[in-house]
Amino acid sequence: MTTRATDGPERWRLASVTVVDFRGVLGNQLFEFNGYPALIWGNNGVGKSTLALALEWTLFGAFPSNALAAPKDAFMSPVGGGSKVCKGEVVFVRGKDRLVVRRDAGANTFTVEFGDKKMRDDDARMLLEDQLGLDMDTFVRAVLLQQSKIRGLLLDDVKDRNKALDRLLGMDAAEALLETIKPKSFKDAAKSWREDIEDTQAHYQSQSDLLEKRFNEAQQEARAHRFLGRDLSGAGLKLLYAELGRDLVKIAGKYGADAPQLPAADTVAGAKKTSAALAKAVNQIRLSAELQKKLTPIEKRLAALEAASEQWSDLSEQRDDAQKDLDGMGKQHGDVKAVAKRRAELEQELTRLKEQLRSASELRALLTQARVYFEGNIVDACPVCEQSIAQPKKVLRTIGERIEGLTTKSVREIEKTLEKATTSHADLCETEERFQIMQAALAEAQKRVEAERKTIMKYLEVEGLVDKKVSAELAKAIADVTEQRDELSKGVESMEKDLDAISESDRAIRDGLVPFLEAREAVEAHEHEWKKAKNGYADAEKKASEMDDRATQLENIKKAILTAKDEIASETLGKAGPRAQKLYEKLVQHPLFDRLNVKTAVKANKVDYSFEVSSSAVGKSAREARLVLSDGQLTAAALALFYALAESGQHGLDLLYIDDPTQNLDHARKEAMAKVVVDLATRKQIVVSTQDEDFVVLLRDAGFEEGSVVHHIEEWDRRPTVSSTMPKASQT
Amino acid sequence: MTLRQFPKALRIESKFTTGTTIAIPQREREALLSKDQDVVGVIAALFWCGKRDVDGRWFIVDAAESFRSGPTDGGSLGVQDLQRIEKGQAWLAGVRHHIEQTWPPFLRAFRDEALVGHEALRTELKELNRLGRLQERLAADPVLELEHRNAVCEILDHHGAAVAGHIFQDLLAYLLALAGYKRVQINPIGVPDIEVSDFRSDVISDLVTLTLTREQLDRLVKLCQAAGESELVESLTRI
Repeated sequence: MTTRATDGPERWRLASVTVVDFRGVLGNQLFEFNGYPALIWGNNGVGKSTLALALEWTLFGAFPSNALAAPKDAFMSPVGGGSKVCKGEVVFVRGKDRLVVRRDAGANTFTVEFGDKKMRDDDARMLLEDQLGLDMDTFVRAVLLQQSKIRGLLLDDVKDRNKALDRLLGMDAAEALLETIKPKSFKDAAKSWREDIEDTQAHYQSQSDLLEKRFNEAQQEARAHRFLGRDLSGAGLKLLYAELGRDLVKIAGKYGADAPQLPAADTVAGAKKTSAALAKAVNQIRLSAELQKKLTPIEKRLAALEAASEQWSDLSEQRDDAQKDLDGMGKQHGDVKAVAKRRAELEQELTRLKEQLRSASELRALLTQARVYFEGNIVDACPVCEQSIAQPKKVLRTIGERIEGLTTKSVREIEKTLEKATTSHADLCETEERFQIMQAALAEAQKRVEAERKTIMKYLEVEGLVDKKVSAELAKAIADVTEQRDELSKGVESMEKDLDAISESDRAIRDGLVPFLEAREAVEAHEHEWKKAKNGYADAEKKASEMDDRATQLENIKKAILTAKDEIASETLGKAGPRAQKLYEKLVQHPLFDRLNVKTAVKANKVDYSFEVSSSAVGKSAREARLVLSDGQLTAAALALFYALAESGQHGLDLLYIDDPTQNLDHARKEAMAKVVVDLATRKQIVVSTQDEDFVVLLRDAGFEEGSVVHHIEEWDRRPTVSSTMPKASQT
Repeated sequence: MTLRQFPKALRIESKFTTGTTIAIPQREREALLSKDQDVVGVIAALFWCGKRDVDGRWFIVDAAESFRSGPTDGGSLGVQDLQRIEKGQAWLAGVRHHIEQTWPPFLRAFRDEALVGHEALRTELKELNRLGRLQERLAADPVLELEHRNAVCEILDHHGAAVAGHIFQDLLAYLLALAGYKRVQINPIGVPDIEVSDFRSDVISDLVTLTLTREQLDRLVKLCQAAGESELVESLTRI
């Protein structure tokens, strides 16, 4: 094996790593390499990985983001050591040049020495990056090769495999950037703004539809009232009322009325006041017109005359009826004197009859006493005249017969006659009384007629008007006044017609134009409000556009990153491809699938990778590697790609630090790996770290140790116990 | 910023469409070009396409500029093209402002004649322009957007798109006469459709030219906003 120490002047090789109080190293531990390949071996947990971590921490002060976000005391400080006291020193050599990198957690310093330059902190970092030409991510990808980096290629989920390849190709930063670029959130924001606008628009549109419908209906109604286009506005309304005002003034002049002034109809609300004022003015004209002034007394006179005529007629009729009744009584009963005479005669007769009845009654009483006397006594002479009575019994019988005669015949006849005379007397009294009443009624009617006649004479302004001529005079007067009234009425009718026309125009304005103008005002207010709202959501529209613009920008950025990622990944894979193929052949040694193809494929929003193997002997044999290779073969294939990519990296370090490369490999693959490592060591400084003793033997058999430093970490007790051997070449 | 600028003369190709694009044939485009820098070739487009914010308003764009930056197919312009082009052509702001402010009342003033017929309208416009009495017909009342749209729709429904297009063209010509163009020529057959010239800025006494810096304009807008002068704000922000 050909080995080189510092013979390549172009790139830096690792000379030594000094670890102080760092993780598994309590105190000070120096690992020397002097630019040679090296083998670091020992059992698990003796501090091999501590060396790799110390190298990484000293150079970059951090660990890969997927390992530990930031250095922590609990992670870095050894058990028994103070916190923040860890230190590291890494020395690189390039020919005669030395690059010394130191980090002191306790002092919080970072220094880099190169020639006579000694830089601190940021300057030191710039100097280091300038010399090594890589950052931490590139370092862990292209220098510090840990098998854990390729585990993702063995996973089932395509996302995980893509992620693993991103890491291998150094695309994880681009991928992380792509993940942070989310145009959709901006699109959603724009959509949300626009939805708000659309909701507002829809709200206004629905209101507008209703108002427009009302407007159009009101316009049709206004047209039906014969309003023209020029009338259908506030100015039109004002003009129309102004015109009506002028017409009113003309009418007032024509009919000698007071000229009214209408308030201007400047607004629709004002129009209502104007309309009310117009109605009042019409009434005023009606009342104050000269014609009306003349007509009123005439109508009053006519009414009075007609009333008087009617009254005269009624009173005359009443008087005539009274006379007629009296005349009828006269015809029936004679005149009232004759009736009085008859009544006086009858009263005398009644007196006589009553006397006669009294006499008969007295006689009968006397006779009754006599009969009682004769019946009680034996009488032979008259007790009065004392004449003898020849036949006393005969006297008693005669007395009885006289009493009987008086009772049954004379008295009854008298009573009958008296009753009849009494009835006749009552009739005559009643007749006489009726005569008196009728005479009084006639006198009263005549009195009223007389009074009315005097009144009528006064109306007619005449004197000596006899009853018979009253009606004719009244009729004549009524005819005259009626003629006067009719004459005036014609003028009034004409005025009413003019005023009605005005009122009709006003009504048309109120019923046809004002409702339209109200609808128009509602539309105007709505349009104004909508305009204001539009100004309001102009900001929202602007924001939505900005969101869209940003989404578009982000999409473009995303596309650009994807394209760049694809180009860089393709280029990287292209460069590493031949070497990866060779390493694949050496490491996997598959009897059929002897070709390794790793390609990129740009999809909508991502770059996918195909990790395929194929047979050079069989056409169309390309298969996804994970489907046809065993886990060990797949690990070997991934390592082949990993090493090839690391070799192709452009940076200032001539170093590959391979940590535990034989996990999951069978003996044959380990043997192949040993050969590959030896082959790699002919190209650059290889530092291999392993716990696999078989692999150490295979490396030894392959001649690796001949030109290499070997650090055997034998045991660990809070610090490793290391036995180191330098290569023979250096010893000579 | 300069308000109310009017070119000395305008050559106008007037378009009315019920669609959302207008076609400008090569022949018409060429007719709009002029060697005289004071003559601007303008495309005036009026749409009736069912879009509330677009229907019934004139889009005014400088033809030369439009075809340098506007259409992608070389011969047609869409509403959005015109809106975009308008934003970048501040030198026609005066013409646009005049048309935007005067077009609705002007259309309302001549709606009845327009409904009667193209000839009746043209005769009336010509005569009133000769007498210098066009302005008298304009009512002071603001025209509602709804009324304006209704008026356009009525004329379109009454006459059909072809005749309505000629009517709107004539109205536009005399609308510009109202702005101060003394000479108005309408070409019913030839190109361009309208030529207006002999601009006299004194014709419209209520229009003024005002030069402000952007910062001054912003301050003026803020002051107007604070004073509730929304119409002024709208006019100022349109510039």
